[in-house]
Amino acid sequence: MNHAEHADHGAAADAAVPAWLTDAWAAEHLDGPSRDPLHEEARLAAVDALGADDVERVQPLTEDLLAGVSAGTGAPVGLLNVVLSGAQIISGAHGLTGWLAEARATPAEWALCATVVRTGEAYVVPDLTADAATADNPLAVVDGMRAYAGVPLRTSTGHVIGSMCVLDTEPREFSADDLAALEVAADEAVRRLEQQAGGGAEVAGPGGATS
Amino acid sequence: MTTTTAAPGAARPAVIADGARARGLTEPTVLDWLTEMSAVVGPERMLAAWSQATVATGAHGMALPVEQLQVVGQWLVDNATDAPVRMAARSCLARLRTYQVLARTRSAR
Repeated sequence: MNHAEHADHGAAADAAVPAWLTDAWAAEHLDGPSRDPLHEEARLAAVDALGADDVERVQPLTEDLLAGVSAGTGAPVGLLNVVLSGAQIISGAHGLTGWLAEARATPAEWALCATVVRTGEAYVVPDLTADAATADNPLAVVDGMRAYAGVPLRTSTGHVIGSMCVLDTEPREFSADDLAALEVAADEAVRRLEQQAGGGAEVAGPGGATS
Repeated sequence: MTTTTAAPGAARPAVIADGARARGLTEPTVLDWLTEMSAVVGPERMLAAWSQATVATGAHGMALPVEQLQVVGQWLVDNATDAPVRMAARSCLARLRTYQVLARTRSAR
């Protein structure tokens, strides 16, 4: 890909539609829709229908749940993360500080919750720096996160829109009770989101069916 | 990246980078955004939406500064009729916001 070449084409484009932006260009440089669950249209539509990536809406709706899982598991940080196609939105947070509290988002490639979305299952990493999948993650290397446990945020139509998780700055194990508490809180968070959004009946499920 | 000056007898100087660079996060580009949107809706629908956005905002070309990129992304969020395109644009704007916040911070490595 020659950025300079296309930049020149763009700068020279006086026509309404940029000259470089053609089907032929796209066919050469871009792939079609991917099979990564993060890019799935129906899943993103479910996020949209619930307004689940709206921090101002989700924070007050879930802060008691996140404070509860933080206290219950003894982890200082509890988050409700909604994973979009290339970023995770920290829609609900307890104990969050620094740049994460300001940005309320991270790139998807740093998002441990993206693994939850891709697998549809709980994901636990007792020591991020000791696990090959997470050892180079900036949230561990630079920001000092050391332990993670997250469970799916699964809508009533079956879409995994993100994860409710806890993070610790020390390596640690998470018990079955910890995960059970996260699952109860995650289910309650989805229930509240769906209730406030008027129910999930209009959102198509993963197989195209509606609830 | 800059290096602080250590006082005599102090521990070795800390190497300071902006927070984005310290984490390997680069400034988003038009190509990054087109690639992400295309991964969601495919190149044809992406092209249709992007063309509308660039016509409406006057932001043409592949070398848009982040300020113009933000304008195009916000236009898509507010006006795109293709809902998955709007979602992908929200994602792109969230990545951009993360980059902008981190670029203002400094991190010891």
